[in-house]
Amino acid sequence: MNKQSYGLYFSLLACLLLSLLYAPPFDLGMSDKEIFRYIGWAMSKGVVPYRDVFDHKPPVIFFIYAAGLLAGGPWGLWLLNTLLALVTTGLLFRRCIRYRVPFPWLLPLLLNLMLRDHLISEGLNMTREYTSWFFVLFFCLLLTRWRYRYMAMGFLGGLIFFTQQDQVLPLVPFIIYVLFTNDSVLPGDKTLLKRRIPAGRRLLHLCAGFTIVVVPIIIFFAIHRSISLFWEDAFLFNFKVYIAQPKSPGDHFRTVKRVLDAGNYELPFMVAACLGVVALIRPGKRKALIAAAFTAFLLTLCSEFMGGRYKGQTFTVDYTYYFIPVSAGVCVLLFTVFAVEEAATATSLAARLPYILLLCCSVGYTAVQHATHLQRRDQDPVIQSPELNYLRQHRPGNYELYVFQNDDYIAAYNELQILAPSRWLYQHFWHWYVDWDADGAILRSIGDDLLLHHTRFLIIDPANPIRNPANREWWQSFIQSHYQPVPMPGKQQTLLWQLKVDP
Amino acid sequence: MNKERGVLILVLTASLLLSMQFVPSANPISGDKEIYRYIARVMVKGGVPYQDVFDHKPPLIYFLNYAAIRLGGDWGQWIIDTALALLATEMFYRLCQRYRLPLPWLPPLLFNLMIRDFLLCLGMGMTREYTTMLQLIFFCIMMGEHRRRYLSMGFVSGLIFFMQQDQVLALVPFFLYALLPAKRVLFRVLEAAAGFGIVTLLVLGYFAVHHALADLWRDAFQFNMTWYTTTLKESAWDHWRKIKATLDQGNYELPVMVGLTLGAGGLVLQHANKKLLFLALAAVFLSISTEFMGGRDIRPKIFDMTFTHYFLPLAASIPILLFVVFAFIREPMLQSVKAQALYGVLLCASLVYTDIQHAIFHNRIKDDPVVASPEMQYIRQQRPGDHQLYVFFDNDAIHAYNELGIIGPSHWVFQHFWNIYDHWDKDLSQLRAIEQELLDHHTKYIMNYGTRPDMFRNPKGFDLWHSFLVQYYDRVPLDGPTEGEIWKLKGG
Repeated sequence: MNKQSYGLYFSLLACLLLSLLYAPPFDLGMSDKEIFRYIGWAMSKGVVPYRDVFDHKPPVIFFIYAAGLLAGGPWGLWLLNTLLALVTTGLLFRRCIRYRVPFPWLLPLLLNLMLRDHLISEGLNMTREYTSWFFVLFFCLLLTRWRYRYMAMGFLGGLIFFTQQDQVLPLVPFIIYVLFTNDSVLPGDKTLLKRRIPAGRRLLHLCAGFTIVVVPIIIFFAIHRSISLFWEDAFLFNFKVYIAQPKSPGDHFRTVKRVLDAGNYELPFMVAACLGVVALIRPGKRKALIAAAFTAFLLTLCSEFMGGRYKGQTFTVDYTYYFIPVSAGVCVLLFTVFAVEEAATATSLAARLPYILLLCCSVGYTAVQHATHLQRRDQDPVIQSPELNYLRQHRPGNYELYVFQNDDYIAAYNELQILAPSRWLYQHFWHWYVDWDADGAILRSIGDDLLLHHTRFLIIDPANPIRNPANREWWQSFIQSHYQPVPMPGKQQTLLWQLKVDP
Repeated sequence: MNKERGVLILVLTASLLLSMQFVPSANPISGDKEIYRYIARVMVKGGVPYQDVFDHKPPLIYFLNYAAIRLGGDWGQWIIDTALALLATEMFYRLCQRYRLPLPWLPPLLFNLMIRDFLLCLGMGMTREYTTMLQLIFFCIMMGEHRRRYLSMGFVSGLIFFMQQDQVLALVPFFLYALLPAKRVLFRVLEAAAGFGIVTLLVLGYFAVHHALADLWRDAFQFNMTWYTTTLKESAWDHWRKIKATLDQGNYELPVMVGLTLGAGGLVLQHANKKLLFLALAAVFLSISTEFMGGRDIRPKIFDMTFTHYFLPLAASIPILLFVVFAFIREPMLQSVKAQALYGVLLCASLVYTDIQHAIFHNRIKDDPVVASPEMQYIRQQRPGDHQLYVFFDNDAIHAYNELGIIGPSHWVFQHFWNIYDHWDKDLSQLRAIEQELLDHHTKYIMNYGTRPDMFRNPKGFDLWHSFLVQYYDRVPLDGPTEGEIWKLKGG
């Protein structure tokens, strides 16, 4: 076994160990993931996303969850995720070797440390985690000699777009680079130049790859007659509702600072940014690729800048997981600087030694802290709540439980393996936006669904009240008319309500 | 004007601007600083520290505040503080120049950015702020060639010792470097001891004249070696997590990590003075040794920013470490201006951001919750005289004495020990003594913050205090929500 193999095995082992920190018994609870899991599981029961259950994410994440859960439940999903991580880590390592990046294990390790930073990642299986892996794969493909690389890049672009739309933006600089520059990125690689693919054909390949993803998705929704709902929920909704509340540039900037700081991303981010700027202004070759990588690095922050999602407009909420793609942006930029930049600072091993420590120390520390203080998922306050214990004893069937205004309790559907009575599973908009469902039509449809299915139990979180006064009044009168609170031992205010028995 | 002088003026301007963030109207209130100011005012009125009022700090901080009051009050202190910062900055800049650092302005600028980081420094006037500046001056003297430098080093270390004792630890590595290896060791040690002796004699002389030597020893030394550093012990990991949290949230993370990385890197790379580098690294750790001298967190297991000013000495030790790295590094890659500029950006970026944020959003002192509190507004209207007001259980509210220019009725101004030590005043004799002093002085008003039983480690303490208030005082209704209470002497 040679030295390179040791480096590869080290990277893969680190990747595996870091993934193991989030094995199903220890994965972090997060409402978005519970929704994906619900939809992924419900698809096996014939439920069609958007038509039968609302969410505003593009569909690939539901297919990933469906495949993972079908392959072996939560462990199947973990395996799928870990395999993707291992493949990406291996490919990035090979690219580091190919491009003679000193310490070729450094960037794969950094990528894994950042993507498995529990202060940012919310555990495994968030949409932006997948798009981050896909983004690194996209970049690795860009650096290969494979003749179908552009088609594969288009395919990954499609996967990213249909997993988390905004994350295609960091691909744009590389697509521009691919289309408008010489397609050799290896300094002095004459074999590649001989196999040069014309720009027009590159574009065609990219489009073809993208289409490979688009077509099955369109066909799936066409067969289930839900293309318009797909369009409305996964696309229009995001433009009309989700990014509609502006946040000042100062607030965005402060959020970026706070999250990078609190998530221990600050050091790798700052080191990458500084090295990127230096590489850009220093005279040298391959400026286009460095410019593309630096722009992509900045664009990985795009989610934060796509509108504010104030809770009630009184204080800012920092969505840490919007910063997951920064991990890929940092590693790709550092790769470009280390591999392509020929200037003196980046070529000496001695000069890089301090950077290794600076890049990995804080995220390494975070991983060690997390590993030594693992919390079991079943110790989560929601999972241990008296309401869920009560439901475990009284086991509602399909449509007999509805969770309103607290997405964390969607875990109850998943644990009890039951379907919700309403299409509106994901519903914090009533709490966030005063003009959401202004005429109360959606809320009334939920009421109708509950009565239709004789839904026995409701979980309602009074901490997240409906902002629209008319809707709030209607909902309270509806609840008071049809449901009664179930007292919970040790709690002053119960979240659980039970259907009143007809006299 | 040559380039070097121009750069010096720019660095001094930066230091001045950073100091201006904490002009008196914007210098945040902190209990410690209010106590120093209070004791200085007691001295102006003829009182003696420790004898007439309890605190556990060494005496120089009171003398400094005394000088500030004589010089013009709040602005006097700002001038002393700013002048000391400018002096340290200029000395450090000249040292960097003498050792031909490619960017001689970088370490002095970093020093100023760190010492004025509002997330950690608690404004101007903390003891560790002064010892930090003195530590930098000490290092500049040590690296200088003045023939009386050992005397000066001893003098400065004396100032540090009688300002904040634990901070002399960070000087130990440099003393070792300066005194031990060369010839005439004994002479140098004696010269340094003479410098130290000048400060000691002056301090001891003052307390001897006022018959308060025993008080000085008991409160400023014995207390710290018993109660303050031996109780509430936390695990090494708890200290470590607190360091991480404070460096992180205080925006010291980047300069400290870059500094330590370069320092550690220098040990394995080509470096012309590894001995000094090693000692400078040791000084970094010793400068935050206070964190390990006993736990004082009243909320154990919460790894948040508490006692942030314990980390202020890093503002000297990190720039010193960088100076040692850059002055003696022989690794071509780290000698270049560009490489050092890159590290300069990493070192300063987050601190510059912090200072800009603070400069834009700084709070004026009149908006401080203590100053604007309903109880403070009430007391302001009543304008009690000397001994007519007692502030209990909130050190920040000691501001009331200082704002009104009055003296409290009791020796016990600083009193949170009832709140943090299980065995403090076990027989409650001190609490009873306070009550007796209030009755003796017919103290008219009490600003009370010891309002809940859980605030007293000894539940009997709360019962005693509350029953005293009910027996002799009436509670005054206040306008607006507040955690404090005003009690007025019955029939007063």
